[in-house]
Amino acid sequence: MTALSSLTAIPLLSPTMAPSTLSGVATSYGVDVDTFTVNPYISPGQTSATTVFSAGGDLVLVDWRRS
Amino acid sequence: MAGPGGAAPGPADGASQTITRYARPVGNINFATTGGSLRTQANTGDACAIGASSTAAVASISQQARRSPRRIPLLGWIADWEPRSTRALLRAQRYCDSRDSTTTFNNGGTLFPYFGGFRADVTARVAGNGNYTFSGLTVNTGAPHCGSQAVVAGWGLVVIYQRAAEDLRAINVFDGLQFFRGGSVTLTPDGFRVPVAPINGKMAIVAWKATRRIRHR
Repeated sequence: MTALSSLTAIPLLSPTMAPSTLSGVATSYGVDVDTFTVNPYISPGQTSATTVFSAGGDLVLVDWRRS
Repeated sequence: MAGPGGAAPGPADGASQTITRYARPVGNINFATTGGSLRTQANTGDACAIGASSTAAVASISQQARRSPRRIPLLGWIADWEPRSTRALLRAQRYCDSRDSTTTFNNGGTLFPYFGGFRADVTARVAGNGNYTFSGLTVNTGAPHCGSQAVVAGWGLVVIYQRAAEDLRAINVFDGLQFFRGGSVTLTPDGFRVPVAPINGKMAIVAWKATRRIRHR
């Protein structure tokens, strides 16, 4: 099992609360819907993966995700 | 979380509804996502300003998949405060949530309640690529959320679709409403086997941010 260690590439909401990376969305203040390629973190034969999302001193609410 | 008036964050605790696996379809499938916010301004402007609707596009569903009868579109939304927004509109179609979640963040004695709705099937309004307009939420734009830049009102749409040319995938769908601040959420998707080639894995997340800043590491 390969840990997707903290997913440092994830562009969660900008520190300046700028719009996130939604396609076709002019503003997305407070909302983040992002899709990421995880190929660098997985290997042939792997049957599961560990995903870790972390935040610093601010409040994040996660509703759902998929992988 | 910034306290009212920009005060330093206070002690925080609260209960969340743990995120758990909702489904794990397997097959020649893929997914597309979109979503948006009803908030209209950044925290540098009016962090409490809310619009009536939000429109966003889905653009990555293949032409062949659009003709496929097998689609699993999932809709989720969030709003703060009461009354609970158990209903919302997608492309003018009103949907009741098929399940919902609540969580309250206790910031030094000040409670910040949030509500999340989840609709498992919005197939009637998801035909493929195009613009999707979401509306119909009841949102608190007053205290306590407004004073702490904690107004949150948004939506996410995830469309799982089938197409013969897609790689064989197992898509783990997790659902719940859980906040973390100075902590983390760990999930373990499984039920797949990564082939030698092609390796084509991806992951998506729908997250709501209720404070001024997120730090990621």
